Amino acid sequence: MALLEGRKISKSFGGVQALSQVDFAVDPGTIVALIGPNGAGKTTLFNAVAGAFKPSSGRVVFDGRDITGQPADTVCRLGMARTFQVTRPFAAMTCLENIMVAAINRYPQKPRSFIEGFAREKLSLVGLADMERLEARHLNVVQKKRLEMARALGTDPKLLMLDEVLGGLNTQEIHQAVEFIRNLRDKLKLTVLWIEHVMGAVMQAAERVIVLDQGKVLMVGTPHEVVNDPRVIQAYLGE
Amino acid sequence: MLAISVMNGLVIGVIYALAALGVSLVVGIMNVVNFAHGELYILAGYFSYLFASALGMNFIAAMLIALALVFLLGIVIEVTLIRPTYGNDMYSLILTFILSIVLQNAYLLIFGPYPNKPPLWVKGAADVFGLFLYGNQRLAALIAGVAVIAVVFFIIKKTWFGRIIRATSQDREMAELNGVDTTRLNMLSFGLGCALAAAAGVILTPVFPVTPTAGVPVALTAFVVVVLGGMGSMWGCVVGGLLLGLVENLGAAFISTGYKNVFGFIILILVLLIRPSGLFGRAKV
Repeated sequence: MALLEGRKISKSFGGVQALSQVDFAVDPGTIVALIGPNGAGKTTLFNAVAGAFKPSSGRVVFDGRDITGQPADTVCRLGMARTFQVTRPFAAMTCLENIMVAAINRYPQKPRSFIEGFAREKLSLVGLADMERLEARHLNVVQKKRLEMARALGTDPKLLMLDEVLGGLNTQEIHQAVEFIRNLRDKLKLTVLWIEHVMGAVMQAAERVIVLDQGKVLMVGTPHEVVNDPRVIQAYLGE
Repeated sequence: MLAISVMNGLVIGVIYALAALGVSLVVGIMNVVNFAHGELYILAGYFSYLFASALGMNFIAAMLIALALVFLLGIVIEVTLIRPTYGNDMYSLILTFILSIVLQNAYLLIFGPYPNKPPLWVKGAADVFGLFLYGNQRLAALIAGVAVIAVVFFIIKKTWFGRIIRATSQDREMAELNGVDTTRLNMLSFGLGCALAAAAGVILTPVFPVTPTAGVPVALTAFVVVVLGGMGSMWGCVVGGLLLGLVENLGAAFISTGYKNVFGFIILILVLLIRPSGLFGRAKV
């Protein structure tokens, strides 16, 4: 059974149909890329799934539960974590505290020592172990991205939703990041849904690719099938 | 004269800081200005008067019960009056303003217009560094105020609740995405904000008796302190509160008591001219 399933999700803003009848499924343990030209509705779909707003119609089923229109904090505690294109750390808190906030909400009953250890573990996972006492506003862009990833992991998710984590990274950093996310998936038994513009990375990392275009699902397939499909090439490059 | 004015300034400054911390907490988390803050301060004074003087309870027990009751009342206010107005700050402003008038008149009806005073914790006076004799009750109020502020700082800086509060006041949406139940947090922090007003009330009322409208200047001063110190800054509340307490008392002693309240606003205007975001406020990016 799919971990995350969208059934005929539609969302309109005023007269603009941002998503129409989007069906998709994400199987547990896979890395699924969500691609599409600018304005295709990728981030809107993320928002509709993760509880930032309610879809106009359609259902979202996560881990066997209907979570359509549930608030973001409930969805988060069910095991869905998300990062943003532009990182948003809690700037005036230390790196460790940033992650503790996430962990506290996921494990409200656990003792402080557990929360701290858990947060520290996530921080060292992304290579920021020696920065735990530093306030997040002092980090550089790449470190902030790592912190955001660690904070998402701090909610101990089943599903990790990444929104363009590779933007602003150089070729070598992209390669490292892709490796990192694949390792992470294996180690923490995660499922990953990943919006990405950097095509090379998508082809390396993803097992399935969902292509959105103008608010509709254009096709679903393996990376190889997708890049060779004339409809996808047309959506990206035009006629 | 100088030494005793400084001392008076410190005592009242600590109380201002406490009241301002309560306002700042609620503004930071919920973006709600509670106009009934001063009335809750007074309510705690009435409660401790009622339990200690009228019912003859131990004064510490009376104060703790007063704190707890105001905390619970804060939660009731949040759930019934504030929660339905989420998303529109103006409604909560008007509602709490109405609440403040209702409470003032309720106090007038129940307790009458006369000043009421809980019993002193301690009697007599102490010699402060050989400079002057100072009422023990005021010294006790100073110590109690500092202690409560220290506890608040500990809660905000070190506990899980404090971390969630700081995270939410920095980025509410992000906090929700990290699992913070902000509706519940609103309720608790509003209750805590009211409890801080109550703490200021129970500490200061043995010195300055309560009347139905005695909360108005305290709440006004608390708002001034929050703006003076910088929105959302805890240190701003403490430094702003002490500064205001000192300036008011020194001004009253050396210039004129008639202008006591003016000095605070002069300081506020000067600070805002030089640092529009307040002493410890960060400029909005």
